[in-house]
Amino acid sequence: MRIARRSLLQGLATLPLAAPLLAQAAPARVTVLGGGFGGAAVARTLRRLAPEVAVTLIDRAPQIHSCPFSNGVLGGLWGEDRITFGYDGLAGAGIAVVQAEATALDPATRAVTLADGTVIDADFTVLSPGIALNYSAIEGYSEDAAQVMPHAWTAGAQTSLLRGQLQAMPDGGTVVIAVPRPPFRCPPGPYERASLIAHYLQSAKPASKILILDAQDGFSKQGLFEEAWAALYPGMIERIPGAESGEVLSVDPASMRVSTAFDDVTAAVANIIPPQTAGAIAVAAGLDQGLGWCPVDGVTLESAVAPGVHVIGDAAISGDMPKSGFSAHQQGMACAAAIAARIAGADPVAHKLLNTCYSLAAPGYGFSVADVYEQRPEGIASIGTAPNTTALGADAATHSAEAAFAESWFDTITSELWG
Amino acid sequence: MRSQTHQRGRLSLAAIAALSLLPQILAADDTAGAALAPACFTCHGIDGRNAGAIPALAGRTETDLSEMLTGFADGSRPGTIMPRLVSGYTPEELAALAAYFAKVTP
Repeated sequence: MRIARRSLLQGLATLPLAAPLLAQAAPARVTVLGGGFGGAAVARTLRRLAPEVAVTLIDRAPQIHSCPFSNGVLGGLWGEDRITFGYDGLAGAGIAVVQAEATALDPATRAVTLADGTVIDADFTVLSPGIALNYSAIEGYSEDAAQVMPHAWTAGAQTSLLRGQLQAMPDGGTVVIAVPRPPFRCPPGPYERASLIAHYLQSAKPASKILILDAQDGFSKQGLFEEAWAALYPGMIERIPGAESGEVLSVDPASMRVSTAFDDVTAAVANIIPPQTAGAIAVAAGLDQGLGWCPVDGVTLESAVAPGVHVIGDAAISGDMPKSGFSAHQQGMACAAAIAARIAGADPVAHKLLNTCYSLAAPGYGFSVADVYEQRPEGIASIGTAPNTTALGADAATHSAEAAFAESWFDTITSELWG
Repeated sequence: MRSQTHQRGRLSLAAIAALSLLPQILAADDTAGAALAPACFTCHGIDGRNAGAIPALAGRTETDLSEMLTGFADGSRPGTIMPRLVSGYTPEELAALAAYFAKVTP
């Protein structure tokens, strides 16, 4: 890393402050919990900016299953191999990768305890734990029920299960997609999912329907999705918004019944996406202050509760940024820069951050929401002045280009993180 | 002759004055560019090195990069997300980004 590291460190080290960590004989230690888009970005960026720092990355799984592009698996656009990555690349980059369940974080000492009792001390601990699913918010739903009515809102086995159910269902059935109240991971995700399942059904089971039972009234990129559905899948996708009692209140996996306040529906396939909170370890440590999501400083992503503990990605309350893999990656880079600055004895500096969420309505039909943000201590604020989505009525060449850019983005970021 | 010498001397002084400022200008650009650039890495790869449907930024001249960014900003260059993204940056920031990526070895 030639230019970036040298000049960024120059930038970070403009203030001649004391460097207590550098003065120690042992190198600084940073522990990262979670190897997804946020955690892998922190670990990789620290290696670039501060190669003397000892970075440990802990994840319970031997592989990452990306939620971005998992809807393409459901729609049959590509296989699970496209969204599955190992951690060998991170290990090869000098990051100590530990495959273990982290059972507790001590917010006072930043120490992480693993399932086997091992305690990992660190100068900085970064949590990128993603989400926990609040099964109990829906009557009759549970981790067991999700084996019959998958959420597929964490990718991997749940994605395979839902894909298998779609392939096995008879033509003419109804696929129910239950969408929770916000905030939840990936705001446009449920609607991209409806689109790509419709793409599959249209050729494989054209008499089938998709019913979106939605706790929300409006949704991300709504006009663009509805325009695409009318053009590509006329009559196939129906949506009941929150204002018309679309919210799913209870389910019965034995009879495949999905119930709102007004109606009971019998589903051929039920994709129940429950409400969410920050990952369990962050909530158990009290980092969410009872809010379900963790308040952080907008510049450093440091927890408002625990000094030296940083929370990034879906688990954090990050102002105007949506809960996306792209946001997690941006926050991960900014968090690593803040930690590198502190280790160097400098003040962290605010950055401008970006988010771009591409959605595919079909192969070769993409659109996006793209925003610029400014890091401020009180939160991350959107500052762009142009319209932030693809225009309604855009031509086929635009949708084709955005679909190609979506794939290019995914291939680039995943190779940078896990390649 | 004398006049020419004199003029050359003045030019030299001006050049020296400019040169003495150059490290500061470059350092300011470097610092600003280095702080801004990582936001671009998520799509363009680390230091803008990834080439695909989303093009690489490394290996382009500062003029080329600057013309693209200002073109997105003033609407003279069509784009999908880039016109939306550059709306959140000042002309100075766009210049710093162009300077940063122009210095990356592809």
